[in-house]
Amino acid sequence: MAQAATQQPQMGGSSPRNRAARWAKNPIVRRLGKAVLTIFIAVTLSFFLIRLMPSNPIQVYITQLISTFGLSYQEASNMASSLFSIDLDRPVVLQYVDYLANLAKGQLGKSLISNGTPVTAMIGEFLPWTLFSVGTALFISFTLGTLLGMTMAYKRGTPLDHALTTFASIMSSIPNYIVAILVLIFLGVQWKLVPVTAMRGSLSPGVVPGFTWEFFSDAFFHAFMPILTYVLTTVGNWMLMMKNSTLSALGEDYVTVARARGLRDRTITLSYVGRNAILPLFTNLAISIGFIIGGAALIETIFVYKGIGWILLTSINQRDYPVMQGVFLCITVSVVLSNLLAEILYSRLDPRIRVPGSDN
Amino acid sequence: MRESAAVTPATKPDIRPLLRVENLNVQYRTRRGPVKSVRDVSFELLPRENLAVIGESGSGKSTLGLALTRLLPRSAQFTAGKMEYWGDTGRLNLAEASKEALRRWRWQEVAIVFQAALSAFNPVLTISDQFMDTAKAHGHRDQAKIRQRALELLELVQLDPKRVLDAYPHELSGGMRQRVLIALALILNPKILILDEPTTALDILTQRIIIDLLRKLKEDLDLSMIFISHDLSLAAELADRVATMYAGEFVEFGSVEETFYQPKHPYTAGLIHGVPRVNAELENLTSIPGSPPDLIDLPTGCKFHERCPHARKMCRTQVPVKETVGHPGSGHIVSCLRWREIKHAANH
Amino acid sequence: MSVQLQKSQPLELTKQYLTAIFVNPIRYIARNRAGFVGCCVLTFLLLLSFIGPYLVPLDTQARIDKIYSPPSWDHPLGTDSEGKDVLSQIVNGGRDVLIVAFLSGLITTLIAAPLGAISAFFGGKVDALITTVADIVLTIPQIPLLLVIAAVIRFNNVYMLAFILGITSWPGLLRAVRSQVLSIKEKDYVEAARLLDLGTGHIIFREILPNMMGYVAIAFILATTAAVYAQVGLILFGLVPLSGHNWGVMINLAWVRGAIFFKDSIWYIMAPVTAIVLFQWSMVTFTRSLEEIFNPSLRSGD
Repeated sequence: MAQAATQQPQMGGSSPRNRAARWAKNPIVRRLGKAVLTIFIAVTLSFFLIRLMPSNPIQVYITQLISTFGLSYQEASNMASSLFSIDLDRPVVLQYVDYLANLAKGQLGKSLISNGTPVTAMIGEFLPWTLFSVGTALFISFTLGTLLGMTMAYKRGTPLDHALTTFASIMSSIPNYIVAILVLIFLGVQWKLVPVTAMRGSLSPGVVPGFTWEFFSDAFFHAFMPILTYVLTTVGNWMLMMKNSTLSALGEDYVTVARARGLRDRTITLSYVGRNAILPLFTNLAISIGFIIGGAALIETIFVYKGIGWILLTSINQRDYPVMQGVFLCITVSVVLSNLLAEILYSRLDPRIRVPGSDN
Repeated sequence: MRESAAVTPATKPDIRPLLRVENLNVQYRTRRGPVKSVRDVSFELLPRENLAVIGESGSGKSTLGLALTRLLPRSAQFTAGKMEYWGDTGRLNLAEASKEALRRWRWQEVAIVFQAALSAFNPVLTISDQFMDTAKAHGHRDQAKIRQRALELLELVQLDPKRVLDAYPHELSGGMRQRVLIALALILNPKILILDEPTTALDILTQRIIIDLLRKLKEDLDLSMIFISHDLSLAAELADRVATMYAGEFVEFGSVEETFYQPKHPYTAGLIHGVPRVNAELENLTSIPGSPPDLIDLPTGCKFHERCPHARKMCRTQVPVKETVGHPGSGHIVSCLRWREIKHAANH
Repeated sequence: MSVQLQKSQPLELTKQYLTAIFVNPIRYIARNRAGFVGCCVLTFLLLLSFIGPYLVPLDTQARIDKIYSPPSWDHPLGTDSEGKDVLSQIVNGGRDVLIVAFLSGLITTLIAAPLGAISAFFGGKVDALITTVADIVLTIPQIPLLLVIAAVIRFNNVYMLAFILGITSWPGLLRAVRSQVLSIKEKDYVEAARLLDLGTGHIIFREILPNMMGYVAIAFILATTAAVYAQVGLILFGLVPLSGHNWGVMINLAWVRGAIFFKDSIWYIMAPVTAIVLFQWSMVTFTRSLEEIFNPSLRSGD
């Protein structure tokens, strides 16, 4: 690695014959391509899961319509078609094409349960709350975790380091839904520190969104327990990762040279140790985002926090397939987009990967 | 005439040394026991004088460099009878100075260029950023002026100044980074420049460029340099005085002429005979059998006796003292029990 | 590295393997205090779940007068919503959870380890293909995917569940294995074998795999904990209708019956929660001592 970087002064090398190849090598182009492919595969997966599985949910729904409302097969089939946005008379492959075309137009079908409400409208209603709570939690946990991790590295071997390391390794091994249940049991039921039932939902009745203190405080009031859970279950990982990467950054030559240059401790800690130590964490940020948004289904259900995860589990329990399908897609797209964001952020922060093709 | 000034013994009273070190000791704490990396090192460095410290790897040379700049890691224990620096603004007791005083002193008065110049730069900051933050840490706020000075210095080290200044470290080759580091070392006009293996890990051509550059600095600038190296040709070309370091101590110390042409210590003699006749880099000092001693469990008596072709029984038990060769003010010091009896082959 | 092979005589090889597998681990596990405690807790839980059921049969008798009673001499962990003994449920409730977890951990490892090694070893197009697929599967969030699958397919048995968990969770592991092989590939002894032209088979089986053993073991354990996480999560929300008693079902019952909001039920809920947390924690801690065994550079130097 070192030799490769040493010998050839890079930059440039722009021969027009390789322009296409270089374009394909551009990391941002590649990431975009991967993101599109991922979404496409998730779409296909969700279509075939619903459409082709042995217990074909659409057939189940049609049978259900016939038996409960006494509709003819054709009527029931038409109704199902309109709700799922699928023409059941066409061959499966064409159905798939239609499904893709509808998706492209932003149509995700309608809910089977809540009177044909479009799935897109439901997503618009519930997704913001998940993004708000997960985003806030991630911000708090990343900041807190990196600060504590750095402190642990600087104070390595002290009782403080041992205590924090033990805390972090225990917290990072407990499943998040168990932490959620414990938070609920202890804060809500046993010690009665928070009004659990009043905190359900994403906003109190009568509070309208807007730039008001009432709105923000109410939003945080309802999101308090999910955020607390996400922070508790992810902060340990950030702490341990940051501790390790700070320790290895502290051993780097450029830190010794920075001290030799008489830089102030503050400068060394922030822009020499800290900035380099935090870089590897951004790769994990992407994975972590997926994990939290995915796990939100469980956490939001436990706290009855009405976000996208709650609606996913609700729709699964009610076998509301179009909602389920749409919400699954929406969660996948959120994860893909936040991954992309994390990667672009990372490439902004690390000059070594800005140069296209210098991929090591 | 520069030569004659440099050969003047350090003890000559009318020249005030820049740096005076007496009985410097450094130990690293490890599980197996203390590693005695530097033992009882004493020397003085005069203005515009160039000192080379030579020895094999593992002889404590690099630790000496770190100790002189008070940059030792926490696991190192440091004691010094005296360690003082005289600058234009007066005396600084390096052994007892506050953290902040040492911080200001570093790079402003003494700059050090490490062996690991390849990874000496923060990978996420541009070269320009790193010139700026260095200058700023020492109270220079005029950005345009710093930039101007940085461009001049990069020009001096024969780099394309504008391109280098705006580059990130990974965009420069190893030899370029080494030269940038030397330029950065000069940004505050220090009085002393310590170079730890400045040419190791570079290809022969780049080594040549660096040596020529250092020679130019020696002639043009009001600067004292300390070379820490196993490369004797570098020492021979650039230094005024040479210290041979073995097992953490200076076993011989004297002017380049005396040390290289009339070595008194068998180790120095061995090192010199290991030098190929051409001024190329040498990897192994094959003429001395064996390897440097374990710094945790040092041999008794003379630390070199196990490898010394002239060793006698007494060398195993008696610890040699430092003795002056020739007239009392010669400044040529050797620590060998048998230096008077042994005639080393002259180096021609 | 403790499993590094220097000599190729079969006897010497066997001896090195045996030492590496049995003697060194015990020595090093005893050295890391947390790892040692983790190892003890893990052994205890395994004995409890696999031997315990023969000693403590499942309590099936409902006792209306003893609903949610706190620990007592008769019921060391208290009783549940029907007055049944909780301890017997804990003893009998680990087996299924652990079997599914180990099985799915095994499937994950069997997919990830060879593919990761192939990807790193051959590089080029093979590597690009495998890592792209892995990246895509990794990006699709696992829990929602499992939830959707669970809504469509009935998880009728333990093996089905283990299989689905296994085939959805290999990509993370694959990436880890791949980077490990890449770093081993750079090592001198592999370079030497390549220069000596010892053949791909020799390099993979004699030079790389032996050095991967420890790493694969760690990967297997981490895959197992991930499987416990996903599996209990699915059971908790009633999406895996596994019959019988297990730790996940116990929490599910507590949830469904509203025991969580019932002040007296704390003993009942805490029992399976503690069992799961202890298992996860002891596995993760155990991997830390394994890491020390297989990666000497991590051994604490002070």
